[in-house]
Amino acid sequence: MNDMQPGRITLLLLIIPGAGFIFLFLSAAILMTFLQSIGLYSLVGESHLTASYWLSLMDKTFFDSFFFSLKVGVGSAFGTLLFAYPLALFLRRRRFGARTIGSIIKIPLFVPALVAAFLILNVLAFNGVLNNVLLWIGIIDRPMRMLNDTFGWNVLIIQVWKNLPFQLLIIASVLETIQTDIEDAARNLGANPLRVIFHIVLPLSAPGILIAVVLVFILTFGDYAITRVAGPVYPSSLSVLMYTDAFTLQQWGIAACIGMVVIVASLAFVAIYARAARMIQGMGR
Amino acid sequence: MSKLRLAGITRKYGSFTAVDNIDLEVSDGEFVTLLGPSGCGKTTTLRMVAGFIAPDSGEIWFDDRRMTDVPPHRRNTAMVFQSYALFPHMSVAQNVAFGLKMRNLPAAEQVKRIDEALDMVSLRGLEARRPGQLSGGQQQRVALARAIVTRPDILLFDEPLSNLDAKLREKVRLEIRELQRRLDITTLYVTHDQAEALAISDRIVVMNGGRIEQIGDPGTIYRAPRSAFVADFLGAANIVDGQAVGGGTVESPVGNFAVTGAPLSASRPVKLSWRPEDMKIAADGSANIRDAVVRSVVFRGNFIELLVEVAGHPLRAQLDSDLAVQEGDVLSFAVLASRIRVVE
Repeated sequence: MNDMQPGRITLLLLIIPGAGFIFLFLSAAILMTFLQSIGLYSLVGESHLTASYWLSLMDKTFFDSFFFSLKVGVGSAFGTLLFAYPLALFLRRRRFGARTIGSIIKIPLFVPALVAAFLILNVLAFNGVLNNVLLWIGIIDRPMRMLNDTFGWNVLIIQVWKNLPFQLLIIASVLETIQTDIEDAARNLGANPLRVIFHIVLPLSAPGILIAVVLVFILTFGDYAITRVAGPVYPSSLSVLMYTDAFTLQQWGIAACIGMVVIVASLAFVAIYARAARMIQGMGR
Repeated sequence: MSKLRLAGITRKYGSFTAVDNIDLEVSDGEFVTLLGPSGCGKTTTLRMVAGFIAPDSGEIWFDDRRMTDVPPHRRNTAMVFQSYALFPHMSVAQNVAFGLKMRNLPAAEQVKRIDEALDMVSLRGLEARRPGQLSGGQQQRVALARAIVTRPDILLFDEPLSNLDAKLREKVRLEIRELQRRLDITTLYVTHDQAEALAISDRIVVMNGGRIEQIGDPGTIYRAPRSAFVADFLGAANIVDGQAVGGGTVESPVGNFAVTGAPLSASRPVKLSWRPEDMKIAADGSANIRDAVVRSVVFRGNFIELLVEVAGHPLRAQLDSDLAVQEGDVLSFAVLASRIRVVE
């Protein structure tokens, strides 16, 4: 074992294929986008340092889009959790039907976002399944307009549908790590089922909840397809705005600025998540 | 405290009967141990008392309260788990407080009781630590404090010492016993360790295959085992097949023995059992085991352990370590009639 220790250079060479790839395509791409946003690297016309892209970005359309994306991100992340957590608790007990439900629930995981949006559209459309059912039952006497509403409910519904299995898998795996003995101890000491969840299961699965919420936030914050298909005409999401700026208006500089905003916002959430996760882990050990 | 009564409880898992029609009474303040090999149903029985498992049939009573269908959180038992099952996200004080909080006790009363309990297990000063920052022995004490602080009707132990090292195990075992006596709590204790069971219990319930083999105080269980299983499970035993020939005599391949106690009808097959320490080296006149060839000698400090062979039958003996015995020696032994048990 003495002279078999790999040297520094060997180690460096070993990590190049993996780390190097990530470094090149992440750092380089982010750097280029940043340079583009301040005019130092231009796809059309001359390159020169300018703040004009950032300045012209800061209008009402941008802020409306930013808050729309934020709303969709936060709303989807917590909205999904609202369904995923109780479902994970239910599936964990392995009650009758848990296996079947567990399999069916994973289907959206394998459906591409755009296809998902179309599937849900058929349900929510003015002449869609939901409206027809509600009319038939007699709850409403005129079809409701649920698509392209200004708030973005339908975007939220589709995002929840799409991300539910994702969160479910994360939370379920965290719930698996809680020892049955610990819950039994709580019951034994006088905690009813609700208090067991509140005092034991919930705090012990907090890291999983956090991971699930942050990942769904990041996935939905930068969404393009679902907002484009089912979202309101105005405001749009940042990604939709970015596409419009780049390809319709040929404003590549402004598009790069939006790209930077999305990246920074996502990284900020990852940072918050990492901090919180460390805090919780410190508590648990 | 309460009197615990199990009436004909049975629990099956598919075609496997984990607990088979068990009757048991534990009096107020009594310390009863369920002893047996793994899979004998002792833990299942304990968990049925706690309410984690429902019996398929039979009834569980605490005094005159029928507990069979009462959920665990309303039974007022307290269990010390093999894994300790401490709440990792709570401090020592919060762990101990949990049962009191669930009972909605006033804050002042909670503080008083937590201090009391931590004093009893000598853990004062560690209130703010998390379980992960404690040694195994300290975690065990927290589990104990968390259990007794609620003043349970019945205290339950599920192999609480199996994760401690040998030295600590003996120490904690004495402490548990002392604490239980002081608090006078009805206690049901599960272990597979016969030495632990003998040292700690008022009564021992030996279980095998979901049934009770024998119930008795440690002395009786050790000296007067009713079955070959009990004799063998509690310490070492020599078990020999023989034939009763009348007049209280049993003939066996290793020798003829006088048997006291149960009158034996002639020409009935019987099983005899005696402890290795009951084998004494004897002069030819008093010996009832002759021509025993020593196959192995193991030095154990205060005694030596012999494996001898008589007419092809292995027997175990414990002798004074001063005796110079070597492999290949041929010895004669005497076993007192009073030490020989006829077992099932």
